[in-house]
Amino acid sequence: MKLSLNWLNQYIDHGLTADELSFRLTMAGLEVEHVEKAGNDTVFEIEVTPNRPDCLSMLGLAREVSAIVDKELKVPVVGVYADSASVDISIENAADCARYIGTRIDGISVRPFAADKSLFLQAFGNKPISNIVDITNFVLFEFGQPLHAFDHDKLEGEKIIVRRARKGEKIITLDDVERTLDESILVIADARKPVAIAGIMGGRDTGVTASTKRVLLESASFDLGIIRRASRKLGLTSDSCYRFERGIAWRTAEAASNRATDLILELAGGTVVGRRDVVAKEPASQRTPVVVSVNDIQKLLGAPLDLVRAEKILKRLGCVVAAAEKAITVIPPYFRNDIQIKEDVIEEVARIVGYDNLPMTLPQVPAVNIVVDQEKETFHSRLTDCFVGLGYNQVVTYALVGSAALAKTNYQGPVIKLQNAMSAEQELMRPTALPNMLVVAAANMNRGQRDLKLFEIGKKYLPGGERWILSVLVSGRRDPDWRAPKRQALDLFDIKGAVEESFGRLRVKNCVFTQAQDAAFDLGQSAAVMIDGKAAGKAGKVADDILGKFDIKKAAVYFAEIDIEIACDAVVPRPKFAAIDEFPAMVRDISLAVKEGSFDAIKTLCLENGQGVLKRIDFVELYCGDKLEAGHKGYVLSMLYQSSERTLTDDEVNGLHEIIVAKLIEKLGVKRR
Amino acid sequence: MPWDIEKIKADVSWDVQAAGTPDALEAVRLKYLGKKGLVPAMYAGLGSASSDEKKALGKGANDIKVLAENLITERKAALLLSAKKADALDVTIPGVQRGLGSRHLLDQTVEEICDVFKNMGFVIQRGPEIESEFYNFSALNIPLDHPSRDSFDTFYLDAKDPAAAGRYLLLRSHTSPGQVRVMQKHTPPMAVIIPGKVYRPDAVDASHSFMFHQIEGLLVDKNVTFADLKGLLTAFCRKYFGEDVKMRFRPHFFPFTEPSAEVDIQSNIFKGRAGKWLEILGCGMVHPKVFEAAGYPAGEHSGFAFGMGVERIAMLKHGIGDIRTFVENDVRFLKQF
Repeated sequence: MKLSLNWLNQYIDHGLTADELSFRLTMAGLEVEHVEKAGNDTVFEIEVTPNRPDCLSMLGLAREVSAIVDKELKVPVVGVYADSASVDISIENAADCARYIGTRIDGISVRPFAADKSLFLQAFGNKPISNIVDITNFVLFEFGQPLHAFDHDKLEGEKIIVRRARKGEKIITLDDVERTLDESILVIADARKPVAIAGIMGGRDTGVTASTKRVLLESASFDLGIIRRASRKLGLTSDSCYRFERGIAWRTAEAASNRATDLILELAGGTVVGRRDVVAKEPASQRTPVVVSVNDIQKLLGAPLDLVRAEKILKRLGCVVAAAEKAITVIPPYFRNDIQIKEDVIEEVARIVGYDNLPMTLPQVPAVNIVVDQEKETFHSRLTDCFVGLGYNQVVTYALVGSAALAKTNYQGPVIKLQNAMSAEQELMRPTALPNMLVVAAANMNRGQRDLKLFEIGKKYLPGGERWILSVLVSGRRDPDWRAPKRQALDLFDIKGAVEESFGRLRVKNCVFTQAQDAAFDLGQSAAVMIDGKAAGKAGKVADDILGKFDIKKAAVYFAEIDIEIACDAVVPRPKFAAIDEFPAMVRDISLAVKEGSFDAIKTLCLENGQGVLKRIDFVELYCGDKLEAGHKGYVLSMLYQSSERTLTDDEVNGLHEIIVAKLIEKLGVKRR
Repeated sequence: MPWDIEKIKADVSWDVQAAGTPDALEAVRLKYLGKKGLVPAMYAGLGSASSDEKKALGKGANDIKVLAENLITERKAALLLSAKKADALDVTIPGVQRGLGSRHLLDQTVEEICDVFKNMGFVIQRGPEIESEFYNFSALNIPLDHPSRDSFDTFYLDAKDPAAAGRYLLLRSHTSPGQVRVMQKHTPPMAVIIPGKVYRPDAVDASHSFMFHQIEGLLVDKNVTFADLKGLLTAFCRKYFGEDVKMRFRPHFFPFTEPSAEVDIQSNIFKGRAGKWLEILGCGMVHPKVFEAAGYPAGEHSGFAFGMGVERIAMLKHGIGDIRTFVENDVRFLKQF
């Protein structure tokens, strides 16, 4: 909302400089966003909050200033015009239009508008058109009530009907655009056709021109919902609809109609030959008085406010106030729908006094009644710390994804669609982070950052609900070490190790990777991630064709995505202290030829047969040479034997080791190499 | 046989300096201090000397012994050092870094802010991103078809709300729905912080995004006042934006608080923005309608709520000009923080 200082001075003698006024308005809740010089005028751009449609007018703003400086508001005196039957107006539906005042004025002469008032309008960015049109605009900005003037001779059948448009009906609006209407849009029609889109814009062909002699002046109360929906549907907005959408007081229609009639008679001549005020629906009954006591003020603000001062402020704002010793009774003015309860009244007083002039106290933050599971609350944060410690960079990517990007990752599952997506690139809730992570990887690679260790803690969204996930992506080489200049390539075992180490530290029980296929990964290069027996995610080498679709060339990319709600649920309590073994350990290495995917089985079997002294099995080397039988791999394992009670002898360790190897051969069909 | 003590001292110095290797130095040591060396010979000669001579000779022999020992020790260390120099540790070479990763700046900002409130006794709570119209709007006193919804423009999902016939689920457009969820779940007193992602259909440019992060706060008890709200947020701003932060509480409108305010601050940590008021958070006293939606009896509780945008704060604090930087995730950006 714009505010012209010269225009404001017509209504109030505030005695403030532009800077002072700007500051005081801002600190009373009418934030001045810009101040502009316009000739000898100063124009403020004010952010009016949606609860204050009354401030979308010069008089509304002047009333605020009057409360701020505690000086009288000079409201223009407006004439009274009696109803006569000579204008035919009908309202089809009271819910759409509560009131329609039509005033017919004959014998006018269309001329330029009064120079002084024309200057005010220019502050609002309105170019002068003609006295009649400019008067409707002037009163729009003065009272906040949109008006429209029809050329009465162009209304067919001398009729005004406020009705819904018919499907397919057309109108060319004042901006010279032909618009197609439907039943959801309210129009003003004559006997045959729509002549205006109600509350939004008039029709071109029934507007006032230089040759107009008779006008019909409209001032109406439309339902804010129907205007709002029509404006959105048509993609058309205007100063009128901006105000109707926010709600205009029922009574304003009358004052504004009379004010415009006064001005037309004064500046364009003519006589009122007819006027109808059609009331389809009375406004809500009398305002309920709100009683505010000294105690109420103390309780809400934590500070006393002088009731005499409160009364003064409220009266300046247009309230009717009755004061008693320890309370005031307040009846809000008709244009303030936002004042309904005590808190509203107290806010009115507090904002004019200035929040910064109210005291402050440090509250006692109450002992909270909410039991927090620290383990769960800090899980994400600790998991983040683990990955950061392991050299991963945390990323934040969008939760939305396009169908095309998702399809590139061969995703086939269910998705949640947005109804009102802004673009095809953001039309789905992502069911996986893979596409967005690949976009990040590709962008980095394009900028020469080819060694990537990335992770995100975010969500995936499925028709069953949203789930927290950990996504990890690696590509390129491991971190440099000048002592070993040849840098090795990152692969899935970097991700698996990071997951194992982090989950180990966070005491997530039983996380295993099992052989599995997934359309996102190269054949035979992927795993399912199981946590405590539940399918929790997947990991693998992203399929080459997918990489190509994301413009990732000449790079291997590994990715994992794990449901960390499942992981968090699988956290076991901190273990009991285990005494450190004091007796010497003995290590036996063994080379085995195994079928693929056997390590977990081997480990389990070994430990089962380890008689409590096989303490650790380390994977030392993977051998894949041609000396092995087809479909086999060579594992070199290192087994650590140690007793908590005594020093083991060579013989007993060798004996036990052979027993274990025999079991492996017997049960798992592995071969010794 | 007379001894020229001063000459011998000079010889010792000369010989030690002339020894260029540990072996040569050992030869010098033997020459003076060895069993058959000069010093033992001097002591041996003491027996046949007169008492006056004895005194002078004894002192001379001692002096030479001490001098020789000191010089040889010194020289030995010097020779060792120069021998080692060739393969000494070059401590100027960079250490081997394991490539510590980085926490995303937004995550760090959220944690920093939450920590300030946690230290004041608040606890962290979280709410879903997929929300119902009830929690996102109705429970917060935001009527359907009201322009106040404009400021909370919303993405709707093509998924029905199981709790409301004919209504659709949506992506929360602010973290405030968490207020009512927490109030329904727990009984006062309570002091909670609710961080999370929020969504609004805004076209992406340097200062807008359709997804961003907010932090919501709520304190509910009996007899909580606007003065308490001012006090707590002032304490937060001083802690987070610096003790010398300047603040102002500017009246504003939120449907779910009454009175409502926005807080503007001037802080020295916002480089290049000195002397400018910057809006940093919205706040207010919980509206009675919100307590009603949470099922609390009328008039029994009071409280305040506040909310702030994480991207905005991180951008101001670190001088980041483009909100898209956060989601581009260039590793050179990520590693800066």
